[in-house]
Amino acid sequence: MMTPTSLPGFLIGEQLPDRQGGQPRPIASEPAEAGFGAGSGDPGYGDSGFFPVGRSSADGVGRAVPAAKAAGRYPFAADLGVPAGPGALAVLYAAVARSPHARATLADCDTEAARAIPGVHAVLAGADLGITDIDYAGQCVAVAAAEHPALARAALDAIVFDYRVEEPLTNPRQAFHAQAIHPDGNVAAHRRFTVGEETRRAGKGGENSGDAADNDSAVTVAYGYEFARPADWPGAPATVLAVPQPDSVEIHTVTTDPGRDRRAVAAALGRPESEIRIIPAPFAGTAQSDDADLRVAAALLAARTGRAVKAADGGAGLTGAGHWPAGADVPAALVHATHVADPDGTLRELRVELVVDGGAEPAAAEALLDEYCRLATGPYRIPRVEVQGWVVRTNNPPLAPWPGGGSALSAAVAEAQLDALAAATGLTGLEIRVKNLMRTGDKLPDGRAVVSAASLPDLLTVLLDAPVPAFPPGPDVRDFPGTVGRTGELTRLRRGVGVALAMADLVPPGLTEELATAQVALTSDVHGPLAHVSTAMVDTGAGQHAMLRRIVREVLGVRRVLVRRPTDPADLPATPLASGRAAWLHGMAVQRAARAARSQALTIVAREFAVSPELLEVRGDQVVSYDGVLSRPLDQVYKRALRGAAVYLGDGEFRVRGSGPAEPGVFVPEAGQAHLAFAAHRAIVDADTELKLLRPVRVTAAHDAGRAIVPGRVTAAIAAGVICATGSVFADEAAESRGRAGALAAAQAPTTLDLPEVDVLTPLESSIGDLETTALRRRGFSAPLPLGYQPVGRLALAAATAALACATRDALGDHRTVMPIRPWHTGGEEPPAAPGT
Amino acid sequence: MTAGEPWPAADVAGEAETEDTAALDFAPTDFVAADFAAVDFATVDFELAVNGTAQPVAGAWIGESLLFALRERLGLVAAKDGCGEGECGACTVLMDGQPTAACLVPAVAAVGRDVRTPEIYAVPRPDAVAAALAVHAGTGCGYCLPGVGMELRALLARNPKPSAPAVREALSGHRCRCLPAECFVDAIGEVVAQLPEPRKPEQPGPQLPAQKTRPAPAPPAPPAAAQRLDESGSWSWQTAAGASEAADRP
Amino acid sequence: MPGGGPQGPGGRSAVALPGSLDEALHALDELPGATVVAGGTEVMTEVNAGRLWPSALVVIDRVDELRGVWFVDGEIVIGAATTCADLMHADVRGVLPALAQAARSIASPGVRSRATLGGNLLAGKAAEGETSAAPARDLLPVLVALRAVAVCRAASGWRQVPIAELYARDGGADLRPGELLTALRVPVSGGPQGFMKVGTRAGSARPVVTFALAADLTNRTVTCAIGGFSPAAVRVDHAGQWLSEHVDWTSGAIPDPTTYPMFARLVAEGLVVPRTAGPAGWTTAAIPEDFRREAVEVCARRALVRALPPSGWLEQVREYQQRAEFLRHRAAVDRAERGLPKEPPVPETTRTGMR
Repeated sequence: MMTPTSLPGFLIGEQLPDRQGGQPRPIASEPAEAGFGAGSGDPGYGDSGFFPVGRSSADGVGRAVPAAKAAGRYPFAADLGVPAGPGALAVLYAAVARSPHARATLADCDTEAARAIPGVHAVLAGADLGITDIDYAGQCVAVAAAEHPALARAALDAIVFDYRVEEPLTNPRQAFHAQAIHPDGNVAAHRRFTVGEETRRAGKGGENSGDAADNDSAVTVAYGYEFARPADWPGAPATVLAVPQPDSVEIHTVTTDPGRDRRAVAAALGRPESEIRIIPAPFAGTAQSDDADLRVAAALLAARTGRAVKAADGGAGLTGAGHWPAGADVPAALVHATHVADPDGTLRELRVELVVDGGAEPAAAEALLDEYCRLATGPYRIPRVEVQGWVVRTNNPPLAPWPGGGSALSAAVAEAQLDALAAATGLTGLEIRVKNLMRTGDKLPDGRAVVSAASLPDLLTVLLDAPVPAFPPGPDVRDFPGTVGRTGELTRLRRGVGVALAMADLVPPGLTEELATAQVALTSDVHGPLAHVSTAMVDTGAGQHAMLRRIVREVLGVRRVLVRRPTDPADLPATPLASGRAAWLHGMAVQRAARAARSQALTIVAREFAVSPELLEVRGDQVVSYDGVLSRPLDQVYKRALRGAAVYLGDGEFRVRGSGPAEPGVFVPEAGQAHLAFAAHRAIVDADTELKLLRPVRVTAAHDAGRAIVPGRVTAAIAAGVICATGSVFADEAAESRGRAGALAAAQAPTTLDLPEVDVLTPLESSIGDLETTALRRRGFSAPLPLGYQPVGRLALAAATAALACATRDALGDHRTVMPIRPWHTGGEEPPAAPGT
Repeated sequence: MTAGEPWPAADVAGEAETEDTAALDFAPTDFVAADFAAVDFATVDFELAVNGTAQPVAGAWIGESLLFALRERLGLVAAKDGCGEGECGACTVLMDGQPTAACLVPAVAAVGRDVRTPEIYAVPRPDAVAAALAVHAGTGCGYCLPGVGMELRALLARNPKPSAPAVREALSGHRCRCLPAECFVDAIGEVVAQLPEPRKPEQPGPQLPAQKTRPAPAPPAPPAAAQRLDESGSWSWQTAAGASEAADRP
Repeated sequence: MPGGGPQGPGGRSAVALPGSLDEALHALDELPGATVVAGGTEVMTEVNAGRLWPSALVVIDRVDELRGVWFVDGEIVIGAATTCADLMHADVRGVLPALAQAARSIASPGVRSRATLGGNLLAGKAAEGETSAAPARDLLPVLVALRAVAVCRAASGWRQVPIAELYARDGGADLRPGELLTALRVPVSGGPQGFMKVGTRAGSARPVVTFALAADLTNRTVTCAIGGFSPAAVRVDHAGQWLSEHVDWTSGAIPDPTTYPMFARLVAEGLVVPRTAGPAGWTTAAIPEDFRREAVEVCARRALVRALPPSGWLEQVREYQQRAEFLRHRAAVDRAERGLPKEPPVPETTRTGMR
């Protein structure tokens, strides 16, 4: 008797909620990759013969796309709208002017001189854009479109702005007591969680004295940590191409949520949503943030001038320095953590106070605060926890998505504290971690019990079994800290090792609902069966669509799968999905849609087998009943079912809710339970003991990946997380670089000579189903298959950030508390006064 | 004016009067809005030799970079625009065989130079470097890949068997945010392994790398599988209740 | 002007591509206010960011007189438009290793292929001008330590000044209108030399502090210079003068090991002097002075140890090598006497590293 192995989940007994109208209605869609693959007669990135057949990692994301990327034919937004041959420029170029002041009123702007420049077609400034108040330096205050980008820039420089400058609030430390800069006050959010009985007396006096009264022998470690604004630089300048059509405006842009962006642009233009078309372009780099200002500016200018407008922010496009990151001169997050342990190293208590600088739009930072507070312990058992945090409003730019989110912040702090505690108790870092490791059923700070922590010991074991690079390095000068600066000295070298564990919440309890929908059409053409997948999932260039194709191939057994996106995003409703859950939700929706299409196509054979079509599945090249008893070759079945241009449509949707009653087909964790994902990283860093120069040598990553549908993609996501983490630990951005030439260079992002080797161990594939099948069954899940549910990229970022920082502290022999860690910073400080009141 | 000024203050004053001070290279000039009242938008016409063909460029601003001319005027978009400051390497092209950040070359300075962009290495087939990059670095976003390819081609031209640190050093001007450097080391290792050994004449002549290293595409699975089942006396349809086999057979 | 050159709309072009030095000077005369472009890596960074609006360009990258290295009697002449990639060539590395090392630490191959020596020396700041993003004149300390002479040419004639005097007090390059830096004359010195750079990261780093040291065994002098902390570089003469009495010049070694830290301290004192020049651009302005001073001290010590090792050190190394050789031979003879196989059971390709 065969047991179901490939994608059996959700088959038996699961009732999919019917959509209104019963029968699926075909939706209008178009190929997802505009300008590439479409019309080439090569649907779905199959083997066209033109591209060599790849063997290794590229298999995971298809073959044609990597080949197109390597050849430079993959169409990023900036590559569109150019003449195909010699000639004059084809589009208008837009540039954006940004406010140099952090807080001001824009009283007036004089655009006379700007409009007078020949070749300048449109100038929109201040009130034209609805901007009167400046809340942060770098806020968009004017846009211009001209026949040449340099002219657009010149037009902006010719605008005379009349700013009424006010005193800005840029230091989050002062936000509590400073005069309010907003009617709602400077404190935007406050959270407080406690677990275990209160040990502190009333009032806030004397942290150490309170503990001393309980137990004289307790070991207390308290430090204040500062995190600069994350330096998650995009791989390319944000570029938007807006093309006015007779009845609409077409906007080519990077986007993670076309529906939301369409609403935003429509509102800004004052036109109905149906007249705005957002065409997603591939992302460059791993940063998931995009520029809403630019999108609106390009659309406005295109509508105003009636010509295609290309807007770029930065780069060699001559439109001026873009990249307006927040300054690194003031920390964006301040954490004051106190760990109390018994003399044998057993953790007893944790107190954390946290302030996040939300910038001018603090609402976006609340998720970061929430996540930090829920995960503040790290994957360690601490009986008494008190966490509280604030988001404050300042005149800094809005906080960009923090790389790794609250997981990264909390892991960095928790691991640093554990290392300090190990030093204080005389244990090794590994001993104290193993001693306090979180176990199934332990409580998180928000009171939820951990459903399973079973993979933690396995992760640590495989991690410690992995080989370490030889020490000392050399003789190549590039193997030493300082590399081609030639400062390396064999006798002044110290190696540091850091091990860090990180965890991430799969479904936070506050999540109202996340929804993804998909439609799969099974049909045929002269070459045989063919599946069309309509999805709202955007391929950012990291192979998301390859994952969907893989899922559909496994369900339907069809080799040719073409991913399409809906012409009207409203046809496939989807809510915004948080980073890390997109693959899970969209993957599940597509899988269900494919199953629905499959059961229709197999109706005939099911009748012959005298079973329900839902009980049939595709294994390899056979249609097999669920128990493996009945089977038939797939090609025969499809040949008959798809005769005469038959089309089988299947709709699928998948919902995730943070809490609420159980419903079939919706993932809802049981009340008071937390599903966590874990990762363990080990970093090795060499330091020059005199110059304090650092060289990360290797990061070894052990992950629990759930089910890796496209293994190459999982590995790439982990490696990308490690690279980004290296940047956030070591790279620095000069505060003065805002808006100036050389801004990217000034960020000193790590180069290939600075990056560690990344050793990604084969991910464990324990799914939540394996661990908690019974609970899932009760929720209406029959099988262990939440597809791709683990946010590996986020976890890698969190774990690698913490591990690299720990290794650096070890190598320097210095408890650095300021991130990023720079050679010229001084060491650990005394904890600052507790923030807030 | 401090003592030890190399020439008298009178000279400096004279310069200021004649507005004749910018002869010095590399001197950043500050603009004020008044400068743009009359924008001196100087343009030139010239011809670039790109990928072996002469390409006329008309009405280009003198400050335009080679990258801008290639991408926006000639439509050669394989070289990407990343940072405009020589930091990211996405715009790397070969000028007279040297890897060059195209965003830092004035377009007019490329007149009379042999400019090669990534496009030339993709026709009629991707060359060995592009093919290896697609395999080993295909999981990234791909924005930096054309530039990395140009750098690796230049590296291979001057060092046929580069070591891993040499590859890392050569790529230190390429900001890849997705993939570790090992991917590129692997890619170049594959290219090196394919290159014919110059000292062994008995080896077969140079082959197209794509043909040499990769197996031909697998034949479509269903017919082969069906045949195998027929030969082996399949277990499948004998148990099929009420199935009419003849109707299913082709 | 070469055929097919750029044509302006009115017949008069705002761009000149001179092919010779005379043509270049003529073009500078014709196009007053023109921006001189050699490699363009600094100019274009400013232009791309919208901070520089050139009214005319004089592109001197095809002036053959300005490019290349001449080895003449007693000195080496380097054309000002020689690229950093050229400076890394083996021929240059043989005679001016410190210059090649400094060139290697600059930016990345794609930039080095265009960035020129002259551009590196003049970049970042004109006299009394604004400091640019990163006036990283990494080649300057080497040339200062080597006592190079800058050769400038204007239509009116030649001007030759020691390289350190090419800069105003504020660190800005002091070229006169219509003048071009044509070459650097570097006196040949026989002896070890080296360059070190403490940067903000490993690859294409901004300098925090750079240090160059040249020992001349024939003239019995040690010269060194510090750069990177400001647009200009400073030669630390007093440290070299003090050191010359503490070196065993016949063997090129230093007998007293306490000389190294003392020398390093003297060098670090040199960093206190040139504060008038201001910080080295805003990219590294936030780095504290103390760190730079400590870094210079460490670099000076390490560079001196590499250039002039402690007395007896080389002998010691030779002794160890001879001893190892002896042991290896004895073991081989031993194996042969006992009839054991000569080669270890490992693949032949990996064997070389084991011997």
